[in-house]
Amino acid sequence: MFEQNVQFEIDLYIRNLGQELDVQGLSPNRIEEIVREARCHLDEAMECAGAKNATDARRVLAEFGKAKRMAAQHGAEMNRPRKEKFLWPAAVLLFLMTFHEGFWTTHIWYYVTVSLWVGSALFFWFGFRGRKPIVSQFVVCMVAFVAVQTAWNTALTVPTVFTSGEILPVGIREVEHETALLQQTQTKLEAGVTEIQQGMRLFTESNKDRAVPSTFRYGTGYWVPEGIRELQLSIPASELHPSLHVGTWEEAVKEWTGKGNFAGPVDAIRISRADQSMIRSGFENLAWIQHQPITVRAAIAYIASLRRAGVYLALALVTANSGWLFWQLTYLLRVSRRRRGIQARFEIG
Amino acid sequence: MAYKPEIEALVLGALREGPLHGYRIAAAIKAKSEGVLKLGDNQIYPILHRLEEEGLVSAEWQTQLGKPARKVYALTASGSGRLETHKKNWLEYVSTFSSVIGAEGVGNV
Repeated sequence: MFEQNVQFEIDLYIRNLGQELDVQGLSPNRIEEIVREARCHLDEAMECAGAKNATDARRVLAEFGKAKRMAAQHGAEMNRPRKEKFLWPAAVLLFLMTFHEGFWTTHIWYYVTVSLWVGSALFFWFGFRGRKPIVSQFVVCMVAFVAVQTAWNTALTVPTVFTSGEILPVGIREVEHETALLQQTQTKLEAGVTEIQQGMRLFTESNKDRAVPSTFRYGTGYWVPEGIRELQLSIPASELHPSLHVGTWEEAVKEWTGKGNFAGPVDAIRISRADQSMIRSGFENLAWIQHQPITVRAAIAYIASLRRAGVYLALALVTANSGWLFWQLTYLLRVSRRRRGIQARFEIG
Repeated sequence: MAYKPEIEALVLGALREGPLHGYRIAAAIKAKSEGVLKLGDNQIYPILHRLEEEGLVSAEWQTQLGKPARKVYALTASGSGRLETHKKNWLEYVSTFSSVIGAEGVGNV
């Protein structure tokens, strides 16, 4: 049995240790075991050091180390296994998303879809579970993704580069179909321009009594220039926005003379011409790329994959690390709440 | 190549000569290192508990006459394997570092 003041120092240390372990969120059984072991250690250390008074006891305790630090290390060890295995499922998600749309279709990277929201939520969760900042695993995922997509696109697609800088891979078997589709769209855009020009001549204040061709009519009302442009692109009338037609001749004249609320005929023609120019460049590039060596096609496929992967990498990094930051915040709040809430409920011994 | 000095290696090393309880493990590290390695005795416990969970050491509470029971740890087969890995990495590290700074003789540990 130790002197009373030595025993007091041990008991005080053990009580602090119990509280700090509780703050770290360890289970009661684990706390009991740690405390029991620490007490055993301190008893033996005091005995070996021949501690006779409080000063001796404090020297031994200093050698043993601070209770708070010991508890924090136990907390860190408790969280350590979770740090090892958490993010690799994210790679599965990434490839599932890619396979879902197909390697040759990349629209998923352009539109904010449900997949992206679900993906973000999952990355957030992985980050939260991961309990540490995450960078390298994303880099590995992205390198793998870019390599696979580049190889796939090079082997099985022809990249079509539009004037907007957009690179869309077209499946080799679908090149003819794609070419026909682009030609059809080109024809439709041209027909739309002709019709808009006809509308410009038709919708004037002096022409009120003149018969209006059915193309310009919508029920008892009239289409505005943008409506005509979209109709010519084979978009069904039922799917067009209601604001693309007006009810009276006066309103129609206003829209067709560029004094209305929407894009006037000049703007509608400008948009069509821009689309035509983009498709023309697509044609030219498609014709050019088909006769290029595989290295050139691979380089273009690589640029396309890299750009999309970069966008996705940034998104994934932000969401996963937001999850980690959120965990850090909740952890600090939990520790602070426990520290405040803990009374001396830990019974000595 | 990088070697991150770990308390884990020291703890496993202390247990290689036979089962010990926490105090004796800390004392063995101090004695063998002749006071050069300064670490708080309590730092070994979180490591010991993890090693126990990973099956690298086994542990059992032993009763003592007139004294509280104490937890005694022993190296398992996989623990010995881990210790060998630590040794190998450490020797490689020392050898490389020594050759860079021109202290080859010192590195032959």
